[in-house]
Amino acid sequence: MDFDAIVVGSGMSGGWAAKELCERGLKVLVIERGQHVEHGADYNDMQEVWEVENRGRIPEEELDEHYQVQRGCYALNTANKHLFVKDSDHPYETPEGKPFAWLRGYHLGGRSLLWARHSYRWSEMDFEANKKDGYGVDWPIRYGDLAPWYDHVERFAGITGEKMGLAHLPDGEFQPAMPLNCAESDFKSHIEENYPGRTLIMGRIAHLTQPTQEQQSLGRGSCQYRDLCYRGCSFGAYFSALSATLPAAERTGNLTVVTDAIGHSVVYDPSTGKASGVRVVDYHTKEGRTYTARMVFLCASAIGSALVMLNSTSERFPNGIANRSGALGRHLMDHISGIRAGGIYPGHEDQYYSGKRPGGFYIPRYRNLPGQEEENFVRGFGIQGGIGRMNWSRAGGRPGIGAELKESLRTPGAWRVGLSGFGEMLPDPNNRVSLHPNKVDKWGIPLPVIDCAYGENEMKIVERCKADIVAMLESAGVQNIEVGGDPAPPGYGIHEMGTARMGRDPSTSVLNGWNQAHDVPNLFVTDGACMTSSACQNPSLTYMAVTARAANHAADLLQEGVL
Amino acid sequence: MTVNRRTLLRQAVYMVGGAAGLNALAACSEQGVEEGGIPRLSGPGRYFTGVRMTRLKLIVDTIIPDTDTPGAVAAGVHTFIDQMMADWAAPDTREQFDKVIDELDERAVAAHGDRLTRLPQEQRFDIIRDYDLEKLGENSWPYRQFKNLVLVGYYHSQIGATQELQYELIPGELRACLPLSEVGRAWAD
Repeated sequence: MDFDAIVVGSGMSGGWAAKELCERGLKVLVIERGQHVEHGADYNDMQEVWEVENRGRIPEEELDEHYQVQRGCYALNTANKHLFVKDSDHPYETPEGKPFAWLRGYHLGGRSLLWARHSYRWSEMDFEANKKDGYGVDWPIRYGDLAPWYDHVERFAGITGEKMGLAHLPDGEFQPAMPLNCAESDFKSHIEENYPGRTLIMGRIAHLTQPTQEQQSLGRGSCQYRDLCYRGCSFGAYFSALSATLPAAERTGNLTVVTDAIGHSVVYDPSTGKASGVRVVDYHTKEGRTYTARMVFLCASAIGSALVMLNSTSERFPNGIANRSGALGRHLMDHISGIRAGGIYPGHEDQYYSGKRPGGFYIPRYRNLPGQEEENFVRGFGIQGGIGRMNWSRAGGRPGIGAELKESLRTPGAWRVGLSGFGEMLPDPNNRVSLHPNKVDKWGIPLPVIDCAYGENEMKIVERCKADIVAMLESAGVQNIEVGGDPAPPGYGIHEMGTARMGRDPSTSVLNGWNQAHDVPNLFVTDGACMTSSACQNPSLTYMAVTARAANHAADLLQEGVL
Repeated sequence: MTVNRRTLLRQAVYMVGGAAGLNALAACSEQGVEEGGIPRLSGPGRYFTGVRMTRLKLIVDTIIPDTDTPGAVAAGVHTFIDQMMADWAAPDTREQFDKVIDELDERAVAAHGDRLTRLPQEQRFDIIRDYDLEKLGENSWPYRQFKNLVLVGYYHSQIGATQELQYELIPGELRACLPLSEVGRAWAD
């Protein structure tokens, strides 16, 4: 055996798997399909605003040619385009009329470099949801199984937040919260007065405000309030695999990282009934090679890991490794996103702020909570938002030129509020990823086919969420309210999950309660693929917690000689 | 006539051709005069002809003039827009920018019988102000793009960000709620 463990993927989940396994003394190989990215050196966060290439705008023809899908991501610009894939190199297919935006980057650290950093625990309500209303299969774990692991990952990653005592959004191990600004505090009191039971909290975001010794020892420092996170952070102030987990794994001396190695398939050994390694294709030479290990962790993202598994066929698993249930690739979920409205927040003209906070506020779910009257839909939604004073760009669409224009833009504009809902998507077997029967990519790997659409429940959530957002804005006296149109197609939430779900029954799920394949005991899948339902909170913190838990369980099993 | 000017004329005619080429000749016929410190005639840019560069420079100067702080020309906004045409814009966007610049000139000719570049400053101001009002009133995408680039070019230049407004690459701390008077001017970024 080359290694004790192979981790496929180096992002949000892969970084955690590597760290935990290395710290338990295992020799770990991390396989990353993309290029090497050096923390700090490969970020453009020290460029002045006037130094950024084309002031951030990617050439229009380049967007047309290489970023047809990725251009839909709010974060893409010239300072970080090396952290996004070129769609021209990494195509996938969707059925006519069913768009799915697969937004991603292939490089060391993966999407942990570009995430929105909101970090919320799931609650008992979320783990019980499938069992209670019958959509999907029951989660094999409950909040209590994950709570200590949430503690563990929060302490290490560094999450700022305020303890609120909400049963449906449990408190965690927080660093001091960042403050709301004047208008946001005012909005909070309007919402909480007008709508008893609703709460507006500062977003719980993965930035350091009071670095621990452990975080400092990894070279991480406090947030500098630049709000340039989408260029990477040389201060290591926000959590990423490059700022935190991979350096922690590295310093154990147990880590090997191979980049430019595209995960092709998991090798199954029929004589042992276990995975024996991972086949990769070299990005540059396109040649194949195999690494062997005692266990394999797939952390290649929900769609990525499902594709690797579907491509891992053998006599025992002709439809993909550990796919006895047929659930592999199915139940693809995202969060319903793009449910938006905003307007002018009146007053507060004599107030402002200094420093740029790297995240907004959050209105946690308040409908269909335990004990509440049921809506005409199941599950729920949460709302993110922010209020800030408009800058000079407000003049772009308004008439006015000359000295008068210049003078008027010296003063910040009115406060503008924006709210954006994130809704839960139900697990539906028809929403799935599969391998194209005959088309392959540059490396000879079958093209992904992504077939995913919102159902009836999702559209009811959209309707309710949008109406609520508008009503809340109106109740706070917001003026010139503009309401967004249809929700964004699935994918734009960038929270894909569910394609190798956990469950109690091997005939309807792929993984058990330890993220371990029911049928291949040394194969673990701990990214979004494992999620049995989607809740409505940003999921990365939960991926971190399930990964850390699974990795420590796997290390236990290895120690006990079970694996 | 200098060699430079002959070269410029050739390039101008070559690049814009036809009737627009004749406009270019007319625009160049008043070369050498300065107004408000701005040379009437610019050399060709990386994308724009010398004629259009000359017009563009006066247009951005009119939209964001020097006041007690330097304006768009000092901040190099015309050069920035020219670079963006060369490095960022697709052909249809470039044409739209050409058209905005030329339409403003045509308005000058229609209203005063003379090129935009030769009008007194007040008349030029009125032409551009009316065009701005009209185009934004009809939500013209090409003009919005144009005006946005003028604004980005200025307020995200070093001059615009640090002399006209306020800017810090590394604020280091967050003061989330404080009197505007303690901050002073708007943040550029």
